[in-house]
Amino acid sequence: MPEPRPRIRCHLVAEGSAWALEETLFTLVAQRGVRLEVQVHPAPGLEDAARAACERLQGLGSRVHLVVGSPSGLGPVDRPAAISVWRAGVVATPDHFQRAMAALEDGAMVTVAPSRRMVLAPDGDGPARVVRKTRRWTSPLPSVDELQRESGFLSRCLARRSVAPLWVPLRPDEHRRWAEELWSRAQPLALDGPPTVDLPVGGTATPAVALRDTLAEMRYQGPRVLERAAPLTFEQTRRLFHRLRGARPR
Amino acid sequence: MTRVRLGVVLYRNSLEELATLVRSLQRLEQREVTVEVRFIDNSPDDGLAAPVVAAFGSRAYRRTPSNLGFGAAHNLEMTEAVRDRAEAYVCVNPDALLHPAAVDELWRVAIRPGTWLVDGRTLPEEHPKPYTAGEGETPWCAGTLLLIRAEAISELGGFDENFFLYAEDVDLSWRVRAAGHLTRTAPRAWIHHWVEHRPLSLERRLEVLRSAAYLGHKWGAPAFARRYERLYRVLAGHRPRLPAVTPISDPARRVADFSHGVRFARSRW
Repeated sequence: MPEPRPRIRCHLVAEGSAWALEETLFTLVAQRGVRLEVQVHPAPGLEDAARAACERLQGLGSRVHLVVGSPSGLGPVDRPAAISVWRAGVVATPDHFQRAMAALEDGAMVTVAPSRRMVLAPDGDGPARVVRKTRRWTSPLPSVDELQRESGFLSRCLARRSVAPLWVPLRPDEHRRWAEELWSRAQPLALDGPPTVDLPVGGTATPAVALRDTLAEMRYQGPRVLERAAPLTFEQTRRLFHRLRGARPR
Repeated sequence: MTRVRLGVVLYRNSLEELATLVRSLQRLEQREVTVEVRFIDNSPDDGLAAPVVAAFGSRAYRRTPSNLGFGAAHNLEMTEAVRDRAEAYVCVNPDALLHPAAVDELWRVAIRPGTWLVDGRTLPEEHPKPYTAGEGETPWCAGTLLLIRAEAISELGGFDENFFLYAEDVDLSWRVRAAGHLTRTAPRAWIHHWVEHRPLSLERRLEVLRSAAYLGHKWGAPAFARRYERLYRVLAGHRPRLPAVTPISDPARRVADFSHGVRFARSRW
């Protein structure tokens, strides 16, 4: 029997560190609840690392297929339901595509996932060390200008195939153009809930956006300070804490 | 080649979850070490045996007569591993996906002088406890993916079995450091483990609180212990049953850190 078509095709644009690429792939192979094909597009010099990483991680996720470059033919990998463009270095929780896909099935054309920004520091010849993670504020109907501060911003988006541009932005500088084309066809919708994507930090925020990011982070960190200082009071307000985080009460 | 025993403690896990882990264990690269895989099943029946036996043979699976808890079940296996001359024991959580190079990378860090414990990096939600750049020194090692050198097992006896679940890794790390040895993180050893979406049952929350209270008593932090005992009482309606323990005295207890709640270290975020 032919294999069912992938619901989602993810174009992973890779440049820079081979560690960042492998870290991203390792979180993508663990995606649940969707059938996913990841096409890795390595920058010159990263081809061997990309092939090695795909070979090493292929088959770890039962419904995720990894391939370097464009597939040679059509067949089962053709006509996915949704398209995503990723940057190496961005990591996702295993429910990332499942949550985005559910929103598309509910009528959204393009989704923008809730995210955090990671401050990274080099650590010898190994993977970068995460120094800090902070919540990223996102407006309900985000613009390209609002999102493009992080170079991996497109990783937050999942677009129905019918509205996704038909070309792949292989160079990082093409991502803004791809996003503008996508935005011109449909207004993306920001998803609620806990972050599903962590992006390497980049760019500087306007004071208003920086303030909103800070408030988003305080909304999360405030209850944690209470948890450490007064666990009994925290326990009594646990339901409120989960509502503030945007999660279901436990 | 160096022999390492890898142990997974099971308790009523889902078969899908187990299949994911088994798939990743079958793909371990084993360039630096030879890995012997063992599963210790605390479940009331042997419903999880089939996929383990199919993948690794009947020697890889054993069922305990009752639910021993995390530490006691690992102790059972790690003691045998040392007797069988394995040079290290690796604990792996059952609800995880191991990177093919993970055990090799743990071992590369474990052979640095003075190192007795090494933990891996958890993706996508890394533990926020710190580790130093280059050296990877960390205040304590997490049990999700944890390598324990045979010397630590022989000299310290593995986990304190008075912990049923949670904080036994913190306690073991502090005992290692109090004995003058190092606890490190291997930033290239990756395990995919994600539990943020799971509701924490009352039963599990009580286990966290009980372990925190016991740890506080054991390491000479009575105020910390009382705080979590009080919370346990509010949630359970009765006091936790804690074994009598003589608090560890100075200077050994100086390695303990109770100033960050149940995180037991400064958080990076």
